[in-house]
Amino acid sequence: MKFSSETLEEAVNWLVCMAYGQPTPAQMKHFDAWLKASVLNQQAWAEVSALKGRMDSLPALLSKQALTAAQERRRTSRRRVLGTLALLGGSAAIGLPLLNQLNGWEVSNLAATHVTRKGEQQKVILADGTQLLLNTNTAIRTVESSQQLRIELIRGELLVDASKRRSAGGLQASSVHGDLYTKSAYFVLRELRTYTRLSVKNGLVEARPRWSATPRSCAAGEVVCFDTAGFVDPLASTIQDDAFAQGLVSGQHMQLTHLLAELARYKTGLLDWDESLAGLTVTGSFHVNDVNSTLEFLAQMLPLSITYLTPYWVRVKKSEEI
Amino acid sequence: MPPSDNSYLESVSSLYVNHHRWLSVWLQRRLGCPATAADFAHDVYARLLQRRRELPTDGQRPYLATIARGLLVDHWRRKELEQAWLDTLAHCEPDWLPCPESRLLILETLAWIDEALGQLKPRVRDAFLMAQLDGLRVSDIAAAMGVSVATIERDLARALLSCHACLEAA
Repeated sequence: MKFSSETLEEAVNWLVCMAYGQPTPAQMKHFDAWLKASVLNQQAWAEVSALKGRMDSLPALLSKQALTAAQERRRTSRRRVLGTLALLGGSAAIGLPLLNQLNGWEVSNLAATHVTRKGEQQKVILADGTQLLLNTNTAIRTVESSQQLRIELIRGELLVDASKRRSAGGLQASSVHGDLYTKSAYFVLRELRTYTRLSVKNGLVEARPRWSATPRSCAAGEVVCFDTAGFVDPLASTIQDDAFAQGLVSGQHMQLTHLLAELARYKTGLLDWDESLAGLTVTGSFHVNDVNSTLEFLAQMLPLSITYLTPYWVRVKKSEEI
Repeated sequence: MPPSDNSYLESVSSLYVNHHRWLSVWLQRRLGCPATAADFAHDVYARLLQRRRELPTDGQRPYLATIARGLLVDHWRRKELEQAWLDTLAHCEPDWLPCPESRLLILETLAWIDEALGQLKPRVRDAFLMAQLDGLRVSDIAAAMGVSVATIERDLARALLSCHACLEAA
């Protein structure tokens, strides 16, 4: 005989108490008593524990990235489909074929007003004088009105120079993780799937994570990272965050693997490397417009072997030669 | 085989004989690919055979279309998740990449969690992600969202029941 749905609910409530909360000694005694009371309780508990175990086996960061990315794709595609249906004065019957044509890249582009491909950068000057620089593989949506300017960073990295704005209204910049408010600052915003990074170069920007009640005011020179829940510690990085405006990745004593991860963003195809590179550091400015040449240049500075497995797939390893 | 099962099988057979071609064309218009459409059409009938249902005596094509639509939505949902997972792997630092054997298992687990999450309201979904994947405590989540601890506990229970139901159905 299998346990009832009431027993399942009890087991789930106990799981919430035991595994996600901080149970008091009294609660633990109560749980123990519940468990001993019936073999059906034990079966239900075994089942929900196994469920939890399976979820615990997931790599947390990657899973969150994938689940939120999938969610974001759906939000965007639904908005787009509804918009198109309105344009066509349409019936629900044509909704499905449209969805059919949308694969991942296209879906999150459709809501965008400006898009760059990998390796591409784009400068945009908006009606109110705000200047934007979209970095590689970036998609944004701008909504301009007399009251305010709204910029949504759908994906990628954006430099915003609002210092010469001619409008009295505010500027709101958003990512999936939260919103920023300013009048005339100069800042870099980067969406990194599990968090968003704000680097203020000039002026004042107020950052509000999606679910947090406490915003934070950030001034020139400050770097903050946040996800939907709140502010998180920025990962230590010596890479200059606005060097991309000069077409460079620059920094002092950068981890080579971090530099390669940045260069990979600009290269069509695949750039990978292995753990033999751990610990290698490099200082300087490196061009992003021709990543293969930059890799060859790096190979002159460091003991690297660069292999082209296919024209688009480059692998970097530590050189065996002395 | 008991007579009642036989008659159900016959009803499904007749649905197949009368409408299978129409269903394949209907699906092909939505999927673009005839081979995939044929697979889907078979899935629709397989679904009918999995569980005994009340089959309509008329309006059979709309009935089949409704089942097909449900399968299509699941299919696209699953494809979106797969694409998101592949993207995540592509952007992942090599040190953090799960080994190839794990990747498929992880994707399967993510697929049923994703399906479960799709049925939940945003706050419930976010609370669950924060608890399970961010490892935040219930009290912290409640504070972050400006609701009571009891509310978050109820949200998590709801999310877990949804996950359990989706796992059972998988």
